[in-house]
Amino acid sequence: MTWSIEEILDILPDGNLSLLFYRIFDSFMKEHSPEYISPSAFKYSKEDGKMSTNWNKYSDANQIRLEGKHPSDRYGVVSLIVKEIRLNPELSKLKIEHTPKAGNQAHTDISGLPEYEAISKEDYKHLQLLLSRLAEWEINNYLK
Amino acid sequence: MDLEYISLKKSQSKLEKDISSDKLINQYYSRRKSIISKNIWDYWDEIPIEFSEPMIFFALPLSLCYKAYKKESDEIYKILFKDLFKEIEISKKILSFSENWDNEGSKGYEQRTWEKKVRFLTKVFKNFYDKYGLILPTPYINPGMDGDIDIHWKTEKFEIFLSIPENDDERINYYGDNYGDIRTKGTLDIDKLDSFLTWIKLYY
Repeated sequence: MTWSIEEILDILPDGNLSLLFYRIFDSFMKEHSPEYISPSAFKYSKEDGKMSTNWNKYSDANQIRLEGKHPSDRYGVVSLIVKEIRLNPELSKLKIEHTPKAGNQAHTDISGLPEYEAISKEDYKHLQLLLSRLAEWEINNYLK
Repeated sequence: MDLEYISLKKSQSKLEKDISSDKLINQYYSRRKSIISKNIWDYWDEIPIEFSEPMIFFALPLSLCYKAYKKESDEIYKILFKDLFKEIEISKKILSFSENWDNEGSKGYEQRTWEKKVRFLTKVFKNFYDKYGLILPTPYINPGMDGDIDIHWKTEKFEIFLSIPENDDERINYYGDNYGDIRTKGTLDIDKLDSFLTWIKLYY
């Protein structure tokens, strides 16, 4: 089944904020500082140069956890508010594109990060920091 | 935090006091023959008597004191920076991440990159303490991209994020800010940390 591509609005039709769920591997999580969100976790895929997320219009936080290549309990999930990304002038180069896949209508890419190759490493670190500041934990095994 | 710092300072001054104690001088007398270098003895007869006496009673004990002080200093640093060494110990698990450790194509990490990171952090902490008498907050250590190891300071007043590169020809890249308009970024040479430390001190 193919899904139609939609515009990612800041606010969902039900009045809630549009969120993007992002999966974080447990190697970036700290048992001794469970609240900590590592900027190192915000990186593009080597395969397509994009950050793969799920849109909350068609998904909950747990779904993206199940889509990982490791057992789901090895992942945490954070959410990013679409509007906050767009409002941040320093993240304006990032594009948020609904890219549904077979079996996952919620799939959404954040692209623009691959310019990493073209920008300096320190500017890339800046982007990673900004994204980590916007993120909030949705699922984290260390947070009780 | 303050109480912990005061207690560490107390243990430091205790150790410094021990260094100048008789115990150390006794150690010197029992070990001096094995420690005094062969070269000094080779030329001992040529040293005028008026110099050789003060040398044996002052210069050599002082040099031994310095050696002992240096050893004790390392012990002091271990106490002062115990949280850092704990984080470093925890970060050892990064070395077990081999190629494709996340099943998403990430590169593994080499022992020498990890050691480079330890050298860098120890140097930053020692230099900051020696310069300002303050202990830096403990950073987080994370697996970075392409075999690099990331270091992240996150405090209420500032954040600094940097990578220790796997490639020896590459310098350390960093970005930091005070959550506002005051930023610092660039590349770092492990032997030239002054401006980096000065920036951290401003927002410490």
